[in-house]
Amino acid sequence: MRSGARAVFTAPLAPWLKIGPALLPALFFTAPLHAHWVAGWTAAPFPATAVLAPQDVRDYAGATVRQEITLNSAGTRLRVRMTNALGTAPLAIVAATVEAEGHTRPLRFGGRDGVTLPAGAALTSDPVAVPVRQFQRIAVTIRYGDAAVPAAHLLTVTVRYPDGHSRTGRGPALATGVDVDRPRPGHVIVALGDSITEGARARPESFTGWPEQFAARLARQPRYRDWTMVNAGIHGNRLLRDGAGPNALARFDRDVLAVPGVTEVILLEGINDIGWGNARPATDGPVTADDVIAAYRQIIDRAHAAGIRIIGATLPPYRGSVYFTPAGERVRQAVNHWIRSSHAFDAVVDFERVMADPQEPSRLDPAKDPGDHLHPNDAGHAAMAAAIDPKLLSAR
Amino acid sequence: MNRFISLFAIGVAGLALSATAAGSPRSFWVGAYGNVPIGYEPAIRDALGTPLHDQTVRQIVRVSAASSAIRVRFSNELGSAPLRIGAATFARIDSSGNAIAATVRPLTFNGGSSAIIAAGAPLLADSLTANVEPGVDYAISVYFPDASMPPAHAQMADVAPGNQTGRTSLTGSMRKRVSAIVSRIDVTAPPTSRTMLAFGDSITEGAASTPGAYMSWPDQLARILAGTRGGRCWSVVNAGISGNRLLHDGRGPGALARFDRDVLSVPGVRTMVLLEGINDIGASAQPAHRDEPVTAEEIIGAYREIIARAHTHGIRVLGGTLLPFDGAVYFTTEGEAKRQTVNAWIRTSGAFDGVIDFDAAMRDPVHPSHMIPAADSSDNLHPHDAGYTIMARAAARAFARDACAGA
Repeated sequence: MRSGARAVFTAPLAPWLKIGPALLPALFFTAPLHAHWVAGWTAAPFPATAVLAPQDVRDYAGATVRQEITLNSAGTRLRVRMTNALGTAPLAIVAATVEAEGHTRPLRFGGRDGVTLPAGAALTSDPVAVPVRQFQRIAVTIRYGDAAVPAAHLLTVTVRYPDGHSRTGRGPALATGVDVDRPRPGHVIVALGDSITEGARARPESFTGWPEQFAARLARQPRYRDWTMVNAGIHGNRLLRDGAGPNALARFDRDVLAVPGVTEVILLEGINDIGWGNARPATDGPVTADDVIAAYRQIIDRAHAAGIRIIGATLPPYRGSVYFTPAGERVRQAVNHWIRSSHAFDAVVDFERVMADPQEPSRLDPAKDPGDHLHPNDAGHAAMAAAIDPKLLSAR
Repeated sequence: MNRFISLFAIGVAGLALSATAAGSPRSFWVGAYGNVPIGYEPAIRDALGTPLHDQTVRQIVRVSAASSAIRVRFSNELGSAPLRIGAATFARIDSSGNAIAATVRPLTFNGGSSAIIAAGAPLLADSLTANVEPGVDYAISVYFPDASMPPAHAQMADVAPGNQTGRTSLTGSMRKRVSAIVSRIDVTAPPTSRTMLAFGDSITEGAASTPGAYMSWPDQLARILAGTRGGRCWSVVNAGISGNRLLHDGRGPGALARFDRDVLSVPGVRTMVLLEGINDIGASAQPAHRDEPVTAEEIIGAYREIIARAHTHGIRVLGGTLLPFDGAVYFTTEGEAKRQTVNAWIRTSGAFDGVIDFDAAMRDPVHPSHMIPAADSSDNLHPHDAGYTIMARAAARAFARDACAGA
């Protein structure tokens, strides 16, 4: 994006404004933009939630919290982005470290160990000079002050309390992004979506959500060495309504445009809008195909305005799932038809085709269904990753 | 950039000409008007004071670049509930303030005349083919059928009963300060075009300048740039919010909280000018904000963050030194010391891509902690028109180093 803006200042002084030579040094410092910071990993934030399960952790007061991250891109150094974007009060970090290659280094902010994240803001750490490999596992550890109930993506974290005991559970993961500096900007694909994109029902320890499997596929091909995939999926997320995280239209600037180096988006979202919007009894429906398509058009226009290529993905079948209704199924069919035929997207990935049961196309293929008739299992995620033709992404 | 040109050529040679029409992926958009969201403010001076309900709001806008197509962005980004627009139109305004009948055009939303803006989201209207040029007033009239408290940016606007979006002159209207939900206008432009975004507080928004005269420093800079061969590729977007701070919410979200929305979502931005921090310093001395003291180091930290995020997206940042404020309501000697520290860092750190030394241009040579009396609106904080002219000229010198292609 903004390819024309990346050049370093090299233009000679314009003759159309007369400036005394003595003023010049003070007028312009040339800070070349040599670094190519790109996202190596992301997790989209959502507002603080109540405890949803027994193993959930929410209050980090005085605790030290460790979060493990698998980087999808190599780089010569890294930096970590901490989020309080959906927090309603300032959030203090006493200290933070990053562990990579067996070494632990401090994460600093403007040269300092601790920092306070303003309400509504994210902060990027100073660069840490540690080279990282693709798919390397790193850990970010944060020590909190007296009051800390962060709003962030829920991930598995290990919390060590002031009294020495520790537990591993699901809690807000303050590191919302890890950027890496690499020799060329390359491509960064953001997978924008819901639980299917987040990787629900894939075994968490096996790194098998479709975006991650696709990233692994790209990594095996030399011509895509400079390509990275990052995941902006939020479990339960919707295009048009809040609930499980801010709706996609509300979070697009933060979760897509602000991703360092973003060049492509794969959009797979809408089944929760359709499902809940047409469920019986209706919750806050009805959601029509036109509603979903209008949201797609918004996302397409906003991506294009930023010079980002956007790939639409058809919605996989969901018959038999908790919110299935025939009315919803008609909406899904109409939406998928539009995705395929409108040419509004720059390219289309047909997830429905690879996920449908050949015998009964409105259902998930049993071999790819973990049993909830909605989310893919590991084999399903693998089939989705295999369905993406990398050439579609780069066609210009 | 080149890919836009080559795709354009393919479109003409191969497929239908409509492939290159406004709004197609091939179009290159730049920001040309900004009115970034603050929130719903029912108690502000001259406020309507009640929710809009079955009423039309006519917001007057200008664009900083000529074009043949526009796309209007509406804001519900600071809202927690969906917001319905019943209808909206775009029109050119004549000298008496009425819409010119032949220019009244409906704004559509995915082809429809009404739309619901999702909670927390913006909404782009369908692109509209319409010739626009700088220096001309346009009206965007929006009908609110429901009781609505748009969380946008309060402006003086005409409020009229019912749906009068299609009318040239409004019946029964009153001029009130009311949420103006058009937060941006983008225009199609040649791929060599660039957007300059002015990010800051009241001094960037243009407080204390003559109302309706477009005399803020970004407005005046836009006119200087448009009048020169080396400057006419620039469009200007004002992202100033009176009362805004870097590190705390106050009037509008803090700068670090609004950066993604107010900067990164604007197409074509090549350079941003950052002039903010005096309210952080000033508020530190006010009892109402005693829990929100800010040090010079924290202000510098916020600058570093903004610079890093802008550079990540290929945007250059010009740092503006903070204007003198001795005599302002929140002036203290401690605050002045912070301002000096911050300004010294802006000038000497090399962290910015360039510096616009507004302080040097605006300070009284005899009493350098004061603004030049001739530039001061009389509150010892905000310039008036002539002061903003000095600022615009100082900024223009910085932009002289980055002349338009072919100049």
